[in-house]
Amino acid sequence: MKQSLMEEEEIISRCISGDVEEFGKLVEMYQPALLPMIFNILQDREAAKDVTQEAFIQAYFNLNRFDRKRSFKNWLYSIAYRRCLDRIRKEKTKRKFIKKMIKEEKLLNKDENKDKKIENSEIFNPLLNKLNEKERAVLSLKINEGYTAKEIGHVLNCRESTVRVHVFNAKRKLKRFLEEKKDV
Amino acid sequence: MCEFYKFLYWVIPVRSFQSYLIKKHFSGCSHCQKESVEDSKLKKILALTKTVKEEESLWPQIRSSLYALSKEESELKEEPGLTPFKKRKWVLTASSLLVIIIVSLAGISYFLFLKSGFEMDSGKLAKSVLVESATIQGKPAKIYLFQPKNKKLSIIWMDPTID
Repeated sequence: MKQSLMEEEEIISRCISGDVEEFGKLVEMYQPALLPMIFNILQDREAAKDVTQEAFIQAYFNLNRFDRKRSFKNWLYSIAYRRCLDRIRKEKTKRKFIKKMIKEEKLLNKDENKDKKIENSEIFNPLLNKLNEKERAVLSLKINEGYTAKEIGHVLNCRESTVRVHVFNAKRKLKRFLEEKKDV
Repeated sequence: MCEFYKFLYWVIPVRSFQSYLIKKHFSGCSHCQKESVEDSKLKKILALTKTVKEEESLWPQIRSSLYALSKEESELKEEPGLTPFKKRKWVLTASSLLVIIIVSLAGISYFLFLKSGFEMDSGKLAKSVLVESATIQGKPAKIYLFQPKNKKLSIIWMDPTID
């Protein structure tokens, strides 16, 4: 563990001094952990891949600002989480715009297919759509990484108590939806 | 008792208080635990690290983007960009220039004031000046008088080197 951390430190130093190829090692190291979290938040495979790439690129260009006392992985998660929120916000605006256009019946025929594409974007588990993005992120970090409320708080930039409440609410919601599904 | 805690949880939506209730009651109560989905079921719902591992590496795409963006950045760097250091340099240069301008303006205005003062007083000045004697540190001094041509200015100075 200590050795891999030292190795990581060296890789980061080399990246800062301009060695792009070295960054590939960090991508290979952290992509398997980062992708599931983004998958869970966005619920769209292609969007998740895009956001993962964006997060890595943003991390590369901000490496000199990275506080070496912090965990690189957590820092990367924070970047990815903010990127996810940006993406969701943009998607919402896009949807609103398309809906508005359809309502006005100006671009009804043109945008029908576009709207369908957004609505039918690949969904991993419809149950997760019942949760908000923060709840999805919190559960993903808790289950995939085994993070404590404090660690999740550091990543998502919120308080430990907030994380605990999100986890609790998310679990209760899911249980209720699972039971509803059973009844149907 | 559980109903009371649930009531409190929903009635007081303050995160720190809700968190306290979760720690104090919900996380330890087996009855309340049944109302939350188990971790084992969560693992079936969420995309897990081991299931996503099969995805192809994103490094080739990231790599090409990094090279393209680095090139753009270096091109931008060739032009005088405003890095934090350069910004500080600019601020320093601008503030020193400002100080120089203020000092020069003050100097010029002082000079103009002095000049205008002489002009104002020139009318009151006597047409001739007579210096009878001068002493420097108790000793008699040599007196010099100088008046430039076509100037209303007279310069008088004294030299202590007199035997």
